[in-house]
Amino acid sequence: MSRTVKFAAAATLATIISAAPAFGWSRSYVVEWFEPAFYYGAAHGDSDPGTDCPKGTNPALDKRQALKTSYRTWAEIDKLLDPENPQWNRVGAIRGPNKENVYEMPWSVPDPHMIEMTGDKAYGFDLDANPKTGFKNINGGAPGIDNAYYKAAGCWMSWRGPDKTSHHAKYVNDGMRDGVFSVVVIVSGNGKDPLNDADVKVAFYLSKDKMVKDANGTIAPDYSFRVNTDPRYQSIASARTVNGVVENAAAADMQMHDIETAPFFPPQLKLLKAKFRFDMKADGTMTGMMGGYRPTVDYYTGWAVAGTTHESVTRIDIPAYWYALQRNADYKTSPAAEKNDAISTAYRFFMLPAFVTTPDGKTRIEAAQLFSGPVDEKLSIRGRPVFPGPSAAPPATGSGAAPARTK
Amino acid sequence: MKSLVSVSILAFGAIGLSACSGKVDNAYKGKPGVVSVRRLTESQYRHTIADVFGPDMPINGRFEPEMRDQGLLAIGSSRLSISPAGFEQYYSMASAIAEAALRAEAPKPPAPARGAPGAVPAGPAATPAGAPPAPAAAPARADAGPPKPTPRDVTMPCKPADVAKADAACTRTTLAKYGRLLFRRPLTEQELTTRINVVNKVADDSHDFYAGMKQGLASLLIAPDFLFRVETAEAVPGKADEVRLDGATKAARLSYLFWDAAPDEELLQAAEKGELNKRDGLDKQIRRLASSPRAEAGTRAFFDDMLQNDLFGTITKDPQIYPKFSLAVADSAREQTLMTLVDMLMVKKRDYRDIFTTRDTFIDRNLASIYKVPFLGETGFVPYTAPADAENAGVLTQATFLSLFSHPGRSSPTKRGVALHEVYLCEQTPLPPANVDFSIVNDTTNPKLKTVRQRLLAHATDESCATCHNKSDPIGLALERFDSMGQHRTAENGDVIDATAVLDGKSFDGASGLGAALHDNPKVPACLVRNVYAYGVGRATTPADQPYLDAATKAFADDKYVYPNLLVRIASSPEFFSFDPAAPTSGGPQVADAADKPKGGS
Repeated sequence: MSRTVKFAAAATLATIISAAPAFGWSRSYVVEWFEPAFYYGAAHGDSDPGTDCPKGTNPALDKRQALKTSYRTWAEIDKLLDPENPQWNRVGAIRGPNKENVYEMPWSVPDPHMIEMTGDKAYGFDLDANPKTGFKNINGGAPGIDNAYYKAAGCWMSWRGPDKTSHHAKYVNDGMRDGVFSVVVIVSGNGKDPLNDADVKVAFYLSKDKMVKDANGTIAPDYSFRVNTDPRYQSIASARTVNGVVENAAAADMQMHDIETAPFFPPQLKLLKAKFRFDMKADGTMTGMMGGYRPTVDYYTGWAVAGTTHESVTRIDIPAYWYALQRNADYKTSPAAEKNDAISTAYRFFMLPAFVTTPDGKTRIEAAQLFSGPVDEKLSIRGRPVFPGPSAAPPATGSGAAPARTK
Repeated sequence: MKSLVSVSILAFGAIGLSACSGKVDNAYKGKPGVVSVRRLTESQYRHTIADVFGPDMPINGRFEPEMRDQGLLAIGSSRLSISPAGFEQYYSMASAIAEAALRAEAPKPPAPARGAPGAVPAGPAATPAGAPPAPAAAPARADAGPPKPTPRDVTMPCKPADVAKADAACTRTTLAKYGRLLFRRPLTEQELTTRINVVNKVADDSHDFYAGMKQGLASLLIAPDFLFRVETAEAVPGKADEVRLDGATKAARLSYLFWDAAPDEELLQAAEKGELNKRDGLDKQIRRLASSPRAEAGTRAFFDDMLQNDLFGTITKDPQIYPKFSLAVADSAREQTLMTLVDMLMVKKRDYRDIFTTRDTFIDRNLASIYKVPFLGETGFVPYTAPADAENAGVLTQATFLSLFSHPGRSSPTKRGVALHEVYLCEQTPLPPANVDFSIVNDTTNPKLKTVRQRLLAHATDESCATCHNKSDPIGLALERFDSMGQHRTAENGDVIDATAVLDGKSFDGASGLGAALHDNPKVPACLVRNVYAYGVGRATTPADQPYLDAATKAFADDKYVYPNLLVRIASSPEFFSFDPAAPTSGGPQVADAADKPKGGS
């Protein structure tokens, strides 16, 4: 298609696009899988001890011990946990010293100490431009990889395992692949050579069109997806390509739909100071990573809202998770913040070639760009969490500090 | 738009009709009686039920396999019977239809169905034939509209005096009405009386008039006279030894050709009044049938048959090689081709031969993925024009032809070539001998024979194979840049695909060249004329038909190959009502002993 024709096609979008951007080449994709970029340090399985987690994954929560407070006897606890009439979902959250809900006020109990990742290398990016902080680069590049979320949660069974095998990654990606939502990406450039272009844009969008599975149960390429203009799930960044690898030249705040599909998780994945590196492959696919700082509350809320379930099935102790996030947070979302409230992280992406079209489906979009549109609450794949999260800052020291858990 | 189309059809119809002689049909020496019996196709069954009882009737059963003869299921239909297992299926469907037609509850919104053969188009078929006006509505509630009539309200032309008892008069009225619509002729007194007796007995025994009526309707729906189109010859008035098709048979031939459905009320009346034996009366009905939007359904049915789309029920693709292929893709492909043909031939009235070269078609999201182009729409099918530099042009480059005539794991120039000769050129290819060694062709891993062209050439060094392969393969090889499910490709096992070919002395390259060659091949329109005629009369053509077919082909060419006009000319010709006078049988179809006896009675 000539550039003139592309300009003409783009001009028809004037009603929804603030300025029809020029482009010389374009590639578009649908994300068929994404997950936190954790490095699995064991040789086999998905939970074995390895260089990342010498003790293996976190053990299952000892519910009997967790429920022990000054106001419960062992006999009462045994009755609450009676398999024939389990009351865990009703009372599991109430285990603070003064009957606090520990999901809402995790600081009310002492840190149960989640087992953290202790390896020295990680996937991700040097977000703070300081090679002296962070991990060694797993790909052999420059050190200083900032992926503190991997340190905090790398030994948690939900995310631990080789690519595409962790328990929770499979669970949530199945939801996305079964049609809960789709994420599409456009990469477009103004140069002549898509593989080496200094003027590139990369944009992420949400689509309401479902991915289609082929006869083998994998996602079929080359399908078309209409973008949704809800601003919460769009972002764009300048980038460049070098030998087919797309990298952003400068860190940018990126936002897209999170991989979580359950209604109690915040739907937006917002990465501050984000960096990405994607490899546009000859077979039309694109794989790579994006990292940035994510507010710790976004990582905490969904797990805490359905805390009793998550503590039962994912081997997590919610207060321990909260303490791990606080301990490893390495970025302030605002200079005025008293302490770090965001944590460095990285996600790996697997994308297939796809076509991206306007919301009405009438025109193909080839230039990466932002769309103006209202927040679409109806589209909200899930409602906003009822649980407000630990909004009140916990006292760091002094009389408000958590008492020791009753033995 | 629709009215313009209709006016245009009328105009063309007038041109076609004016060219006809005043003769309506051919008469033959012989005796009155049954001259042909053709089993209803699934599509015809569905259309008929929708017309008679409404579009929401449940038709949940397995239809008996159909048989293709001389390239058409329509010809094979005259050689089909019904097996006992098939009869059970028809009985099951009949019971369900009768039950639904007499249901006393308001209908639920119909679920959209797609892909089923004979899916009922929107339009006149939505109202059951001869349905009485809806009963006076009860006072509407403030929060709801007027109550919808129940299926029973719509179906019944009368109300029984007492729902707990038999009502012979109402039974007669109802069965006479539906018997005529389903049998495509009035019932004889014996056919009617037998059923009335059964209905009355069941109604009295069960103290439920409608229980009896269900049995009566079901008995009509499993009767051979419904399941088979029984074509009958009658004596020509004033000529005791000559016979011609009777009016009911003529009406059915016309309605199934144009609409793929049973005659409607107006056509039945015309037949009963003898108007189809007169030039004016016949022309009037042909014009009406041809100008109706329902003619699209008839065109879909014809091409569904001619293109052998029923094979979609049998093909498979290796999911490891063609993971995108699915039942949904197969449905989409079939619909794409039929929509393309209807749009080109019926709506735009383009030259029939353009179906081999057109870049205009329709795609849905599945097909857009197969063809690797963006789907520019929200749902369903949208118009699509292939770029000028794309090789996708014409129906031969659509997933229908390319996937139907391929192997599960690879393309097949031979299958495609044989099918192309058979479907579009009416040239049959003999079956290969039983002991053919296909090992060279099937070995796709031979590093010296990377492309199918190379393998076929090696295979055809055997003289016994070469005779047929030299005819079939070249035009199939022209489509080699499309794989077994219609995806475009340029190489096979790393070797660039050579898609050059020769057809009737014309050299060309690839699908575009093949399309152009077929467009200009005189055998192509001649084959269509032969197929339309054979489809309409339900029998294979013979050398005796050739003069007529030649004349019809010439008229088709003179008329710039406009398909609707071809239909009109064929239906208007005396030859359309021809039959084989040597074929009459007196007894009609034999299905099963109990087929014509209503169940539920004794």
